[in-house]
Amino acid sequence: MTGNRLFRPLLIASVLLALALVAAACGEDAEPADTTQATDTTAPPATDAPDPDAPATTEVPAPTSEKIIVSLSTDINILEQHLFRSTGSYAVTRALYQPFLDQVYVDEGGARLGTSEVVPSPLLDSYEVADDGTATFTLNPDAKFASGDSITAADAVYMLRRSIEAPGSYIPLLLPFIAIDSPDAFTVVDELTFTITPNQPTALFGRFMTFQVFGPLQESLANEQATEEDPFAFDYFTTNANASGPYTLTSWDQARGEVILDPNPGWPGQVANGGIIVRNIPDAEQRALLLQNGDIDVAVGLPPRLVSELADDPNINVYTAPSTRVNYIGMNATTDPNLSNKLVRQAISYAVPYQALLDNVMFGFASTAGTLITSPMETYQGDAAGIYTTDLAKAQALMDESGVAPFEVELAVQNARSQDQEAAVFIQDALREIGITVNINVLPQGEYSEKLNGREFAMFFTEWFSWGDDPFYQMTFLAKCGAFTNFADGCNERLDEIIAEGTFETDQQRRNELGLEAQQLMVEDANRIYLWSEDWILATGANITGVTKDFTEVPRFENLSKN
Amino acid sequence: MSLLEVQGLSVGVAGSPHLLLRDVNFDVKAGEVLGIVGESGSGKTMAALAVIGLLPNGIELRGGSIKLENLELADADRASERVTADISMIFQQPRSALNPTMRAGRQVARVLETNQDLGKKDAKAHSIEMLRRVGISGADRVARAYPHQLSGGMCQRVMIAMAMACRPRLLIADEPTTALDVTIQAQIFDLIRSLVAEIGCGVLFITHDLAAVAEMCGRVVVMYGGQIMETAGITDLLDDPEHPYTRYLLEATDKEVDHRVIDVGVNFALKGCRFSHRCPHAYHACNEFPPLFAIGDGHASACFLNKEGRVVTS
Amino acid sequence: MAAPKRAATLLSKVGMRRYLAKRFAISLLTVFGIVVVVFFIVRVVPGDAASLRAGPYATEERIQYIADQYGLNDPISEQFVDYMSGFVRGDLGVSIRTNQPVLGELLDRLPASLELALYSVLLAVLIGVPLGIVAAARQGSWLDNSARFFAVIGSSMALFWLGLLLIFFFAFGLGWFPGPVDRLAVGTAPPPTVTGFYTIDGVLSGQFAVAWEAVRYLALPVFTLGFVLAASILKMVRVAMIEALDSDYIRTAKAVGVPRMRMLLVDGTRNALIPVITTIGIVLGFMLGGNIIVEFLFSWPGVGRYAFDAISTSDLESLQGFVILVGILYVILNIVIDVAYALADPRIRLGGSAST
Repeated sequence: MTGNRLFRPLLIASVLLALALVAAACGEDAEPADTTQATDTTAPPATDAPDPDAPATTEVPAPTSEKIIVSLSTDINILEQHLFRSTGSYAVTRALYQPFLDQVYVDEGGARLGTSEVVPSPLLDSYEVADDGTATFTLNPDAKFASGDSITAADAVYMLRRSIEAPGSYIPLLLPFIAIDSPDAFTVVDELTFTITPNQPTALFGRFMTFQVFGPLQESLANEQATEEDPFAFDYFTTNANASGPYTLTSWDQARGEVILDPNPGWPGQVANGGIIVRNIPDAEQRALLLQNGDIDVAVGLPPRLVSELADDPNINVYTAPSTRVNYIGMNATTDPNLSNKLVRQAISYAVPYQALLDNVMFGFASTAGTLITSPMETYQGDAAGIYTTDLAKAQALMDESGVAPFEVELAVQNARSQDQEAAVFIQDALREIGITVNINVLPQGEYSEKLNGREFAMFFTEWFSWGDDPFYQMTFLAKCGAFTNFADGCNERLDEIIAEGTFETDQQRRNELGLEAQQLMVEDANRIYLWSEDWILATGANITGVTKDFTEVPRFENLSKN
Repeated sequence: MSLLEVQGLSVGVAGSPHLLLRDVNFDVKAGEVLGIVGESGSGKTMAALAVIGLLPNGIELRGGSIKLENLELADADRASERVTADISMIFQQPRSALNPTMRAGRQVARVLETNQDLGKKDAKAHSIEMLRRVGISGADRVARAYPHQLSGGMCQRVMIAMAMACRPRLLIADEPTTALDVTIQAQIFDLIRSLVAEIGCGVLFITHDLAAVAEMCGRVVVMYGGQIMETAGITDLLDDPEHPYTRYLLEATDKEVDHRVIDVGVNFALKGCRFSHRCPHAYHACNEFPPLFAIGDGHASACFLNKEGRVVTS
Repeated sequence: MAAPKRAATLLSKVGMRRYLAKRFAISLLTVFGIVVVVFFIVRVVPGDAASLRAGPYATEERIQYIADQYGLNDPISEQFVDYMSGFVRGDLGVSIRTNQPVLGELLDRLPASLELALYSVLLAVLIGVPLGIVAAARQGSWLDNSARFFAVIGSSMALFWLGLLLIFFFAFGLGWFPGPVDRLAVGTAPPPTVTGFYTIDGVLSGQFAVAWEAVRYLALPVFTLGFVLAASILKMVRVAMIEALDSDYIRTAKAVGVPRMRMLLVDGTRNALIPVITTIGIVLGFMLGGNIIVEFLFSWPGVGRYAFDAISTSDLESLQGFVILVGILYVILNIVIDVAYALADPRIRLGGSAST
């Protein structure tokens, strides 16, 4: 019996296997689901005459009936508008909940960038603010929920009251900035009209009304879905919506991390595409590769390194714009007494290689931070405030003056933030020069969050973005004495006074004065190392237009178009 | 004419010059039972494996001829392949020699399928018949049983059934009853004898048990250290042994060869008689390899001295 | 050849039922033990999901409010009792990250992991078993040496590395396979759910194009896993086969003229596969853990990725649910292996009576 007979079946089996592989490779994807929307309208109702109060956009994107595929930086976990949720979730809820106002946009490099001017959104017929700050909103009678029901003033007021009254809502943290502290500030006038009466006029009111957290919610639906433990139906709206915004929630497959949005027939505005498919790709590298391959159209949350590589690809458009986001390292003097000496903190601030970070870690996709009032932010006066530049000699001199001996300190970083990890190495090198040994500690999100809140870190990376770009808002959360999110636990009474005054100051000149003084104080106190101000970045296929940046920097879908 | 003729058979380990079997000669006639007797390590099993062509890996033929009815089987290239279906073999540990995951009847049936070209149904029916033929009562039940459910004696009968299913011309039985009860032994011997009478095959009966030899064999070959010491008819061997080793065997114990470790191992490098270092009569001539000197009718001894101690001259 | 003893006692056919019943009872106890142990161990994991959930607008009160909502501030004993009473009713708690019931989330994702696991093991067996047999049959030949080389490579290969390599070459380089997006192309609707396996459901509902697409998306992750697993299986099969071929009964088979090929496949393989069943079982168990690495790399919506998300966000309930689920699957798998073992080896399945 020879061995040949042994081989033959094996040979056949391996040939079959190889054939199967080749067949799989040469096969094509199944016909994609019908991406055209036969019945949903993408054009406004024919009866509308051009409305002088309608939002004035500089550019009307050419509409497409195709669905745009978007991959966000995080998964989607909650769609309830008054609960804090993942970054990805915010993008979806913006599509579902229409704010009353919107910004005026200008075109810059193919992207629509929001200005500080606000106008009524498609939801409103008119909007007026009296001298005492009372705002009157008149709803567009054609504005409807996805279910077809009209959006009434009662719905609007219900939603506004809910944002204060619901125990789980985080909105009460925001309302002090627009001088509202009671649900009585919201009043229904008639079927389509309601008013908001803050305690005083504020600079931020108009901006806040462009936020998605103030998009109308259907009162009857909420009452229907409410339970005894959950009187405001938070559970229901975590996974469902009756949209007032440009899109409806067609499906949400949590297991696959996929949300399908279709244009909302009740929305009076104009949607430039046939819908959105949001798909979660957890790995940033994969996201970039899929974008290059054309499998996805828009990729959010790519780290600067990847973006700099993609910028050269002719099939990819990279949109960037300066942002008021502040990326910093907090230094908590209580956690590590070595840091309680102001001179040490100042020395550290002089030692940091700011330009190197901008160039080599952020690849140019960031601006100077300076202090918590970053360079793109209103009232920024970095030079006058004397913000830190890299000066090792000065750093050493300050260290010597402080009299503190060389010491070791721990620097905490989140493992999901690659740019922070890279920056940590630069910082470690730099501080070694002045005798400080930095131990880098990389942690996962959950643990990081706990320890950050618990003030267990001596030095730690963190960042903050203020919806609305307001300097006093930013400082309230990050620098005010005793604020929970003031993780560095710095406290300066004068700064608190400035913050209190500036929050409600509407005169621009006075605001600039206050801003300058605040910056000087922050430079002096040096409770934080102000690393950089990360740009707003979005990468898309070259055939995508209509990318929009607003006050919240949450990706906007309704203007996206595919050619 | 003999059924099986082995002449000058030599077997060695690949890569080593020493021979495990040296110049082995014997023959088996049809219907005859030839015994091969010797201590453990005498090479008797090796000789059997060489005949059937199942030498283990690394053991090779070095010379000689094995003829089954004039068909030459000793081809060095195919030393590890069973060339003809006319020889079958049964082994020492019957239970482990059967496939534990296959029913007994199926194992017999398979032999029938391959060797006699029977279809599955026929083979199955035949296999039960075969089991009856080897004296198993309740053959149906046994056929459905697995080896571990059967006694040693039963397993041996099954193996004999498998061996006979080949309809061999030559049956090699390698210590078939060593692992079995004395009472079962007798039954197996009866079985083999009846099969020989019925089929007329030749049997190569390998054992260390002189009593078994006395009972089963017409002629005997005595081996030690891989070489033949003496060939004789059974009566001649027991009454009139010629070779010093044979005499030592018969005297050593009543019936059985001592199984304890031999005080001196076999030296395979010896050019001469492998027994010489233990032989009380050894002298200088023993450094040459002794051929088989014929003594009487069918009686030969591989020793330069005869039983009186005088040099053999022919 | 000594067969490894699994069940301590030899059983008759009737006793098999009693054996299974006993095993089932022990399994229940095991599962209970798993739940208890996991409950306490998971609470050692650092991190506070409530903090994370509260986000940057957190205040101490908000964090506590969220923690209260999910019972995280209750004393451990109370949490334990709550959990256990929920568990026996099939309630594994609510994920703090998504506010959804954990059991539902796990069950939603389980078919994806199972589909991946089963096909990978299938591929590994298809590659490993024949190669192992051939290597054993032709010991020392170039075939044997190549097979052993392959086994070494497969065992030493990091899954992540192999997966990336495959994606890079075959998906993005040659374009033969789709990119690691999911189980289907973006925009393709899954077939109606019967088993949760897109390949099977697609065929069952007549959507062959969708089933085929699912196969194409399965190809790279299955090959990544299958290749590495094949190495273990190959090694085991080879060793078992060599042992089998050395045995007395193979000698008998040769001595009675069983043809070489048949002897290999039937006599040899039957016996060799007994220890291989254990290996396949272990391999399958490993896969059922929801291979986190491969699922992450290929954006596969399975329980492995769910576990990864849970760990990163310190979502205790989800993590607990995941570990318990895997524990239960292991227990079931063990019973299945034992049964398979008994079926394959008649010495275990049936009683031995040494009477004549």
